[in-house]
Amino acid sequence: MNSNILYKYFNQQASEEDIDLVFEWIEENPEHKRKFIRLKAAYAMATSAEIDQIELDRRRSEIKLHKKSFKPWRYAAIVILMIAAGTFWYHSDRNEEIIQQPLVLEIQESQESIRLEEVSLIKSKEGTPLAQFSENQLTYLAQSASTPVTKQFLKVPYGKTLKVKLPDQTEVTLNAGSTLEFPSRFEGKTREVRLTGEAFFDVYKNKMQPFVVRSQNLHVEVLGTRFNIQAYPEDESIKTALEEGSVKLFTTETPDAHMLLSPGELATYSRKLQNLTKEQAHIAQQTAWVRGEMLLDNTPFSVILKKLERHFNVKATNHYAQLEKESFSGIVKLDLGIEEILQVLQLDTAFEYKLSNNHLILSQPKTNP
Amino acid sequence: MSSPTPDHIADSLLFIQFKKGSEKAFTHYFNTYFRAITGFCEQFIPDTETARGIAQEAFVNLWLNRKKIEKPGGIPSFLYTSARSKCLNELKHLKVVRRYENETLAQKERSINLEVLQALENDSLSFQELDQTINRFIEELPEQTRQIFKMKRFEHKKNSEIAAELNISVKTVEAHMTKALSFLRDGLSEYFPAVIVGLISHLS
Repeated sequence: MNSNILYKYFNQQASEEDIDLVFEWIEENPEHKRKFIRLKAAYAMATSAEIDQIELDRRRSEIKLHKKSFKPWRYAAIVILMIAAGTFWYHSDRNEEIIQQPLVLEIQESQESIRLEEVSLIKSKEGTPLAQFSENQLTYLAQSASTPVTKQFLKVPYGKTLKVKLPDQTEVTLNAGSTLEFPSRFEGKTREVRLTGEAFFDVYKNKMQPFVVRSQNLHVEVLGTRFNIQAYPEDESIKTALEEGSVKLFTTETPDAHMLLSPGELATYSRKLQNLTKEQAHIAQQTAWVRGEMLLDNTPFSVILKKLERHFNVKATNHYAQLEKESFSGIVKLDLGIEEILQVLQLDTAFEYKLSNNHLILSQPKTNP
Repeated sequence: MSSPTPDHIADSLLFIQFKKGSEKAFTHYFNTYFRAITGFCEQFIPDTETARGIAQEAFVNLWLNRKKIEKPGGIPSFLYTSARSKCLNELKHLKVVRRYENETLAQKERSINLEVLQALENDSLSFQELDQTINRFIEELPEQTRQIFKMKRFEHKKNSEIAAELNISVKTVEAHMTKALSFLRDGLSEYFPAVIVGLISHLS
């Protein structure tokens, strides 16, 4: 039997003549029939319907989920709780009004400060198009060699992330609370950018002009590769995780020596010890934020809290020392929202939280856990 | 992203939320599996609207039974099992599945579809096992065929989208899918010794 006919048949593209052939083959002998049944079962399991996101959302919205049967006493209890928690609710509502800083692009030479969400096209002082902004992505346009180079400075506030396509086609995803400095056109021997905070780089290959990321005392030199750098000034260390390709790491303390990183390796630069070490690591954990996830693998609560602060633009205060010693495992979708994420963590370890304005206060549970 | 997620941490928090009745977690699973479950149903019920309705019912069933599901991997198994029995029911009550000029063809199609579903109905069949077997099988396909098969199965892309993305023709995409099918056909007895083959050998 011709596989192409079977493929067409399974995809409802076969002509009736073809289908006739399929059944002729099936009926030829029991072995064929067995083969067909096996194949059809496996194919049914392996295939997916072509459904776009709009239909998917509609199909989902048609399903109404009923949580529980009506229990009057439950509602009585909720009313009492709401009265008791009146002040909390009031603050919780005001939480909607978190002051959100804008995404800002500063161009040093023209002393311009542009709020990206308010523009779609950024022009140079001379009036030529420099970059476009749409759907949370900033795309730099190629500049002719005669245009003057200007210094671009991007600020991503807490609570936001941003994708940038640099003039050389390199793609950078900037995490919340990060800044990136780079020229409007790369000239010279290297392509240099300066980072504080965290970013995932997918570097455009150009052997003639290596790409260099500078973050405080650590310099990362690459040809073309995908990697993540975490260099928040308040963190004790700078972490570089390599997904693909290879990178060279230099420190300002030992500019002549370098460390070579292979895919799957994570390098840690300790600010205190001023030294660089590397280990095999779970790279997906380092890059999960790019996909809107937080991947926890025995991750200490303090690290989780710091990430939540940055991602949701909140200030956290923890009054429950025991919590600092706990660690968690699992995948958290960041789009669930901070309260749902906290509630998930509560299932594992009991604690209380209060969120008012952009302040998060954690405390010991009042009842026994 | 090339690094795989270790099984022990995969989705465990989301799964806990789902069991506790989080609609968001339900929606996540809906988005993950609806296309696959619909694809399954459409293999047996050619009417798109009916097939998609059955798939939706399977998800309602999943929600109602969420407390009985023990691990994240149990979700697709449950959905397939539920969709399979609903398809079987539908097919038993359906006189005409698809119109053909040749009426006996419609009859033959209905009866072979019933047989495939009945073969899958056996309780000893673990959908999860079957799913894993298919995944193993995919990994052994030639590179580009594997890439295309995965784009269809996991990213739910259309042939035309795959063609555009890989800069090849739609015909080439179809050729790769056909190739995958040939591999599947030739490799079935090797890949499914314990599951389907054993199951089906007593039929016909």
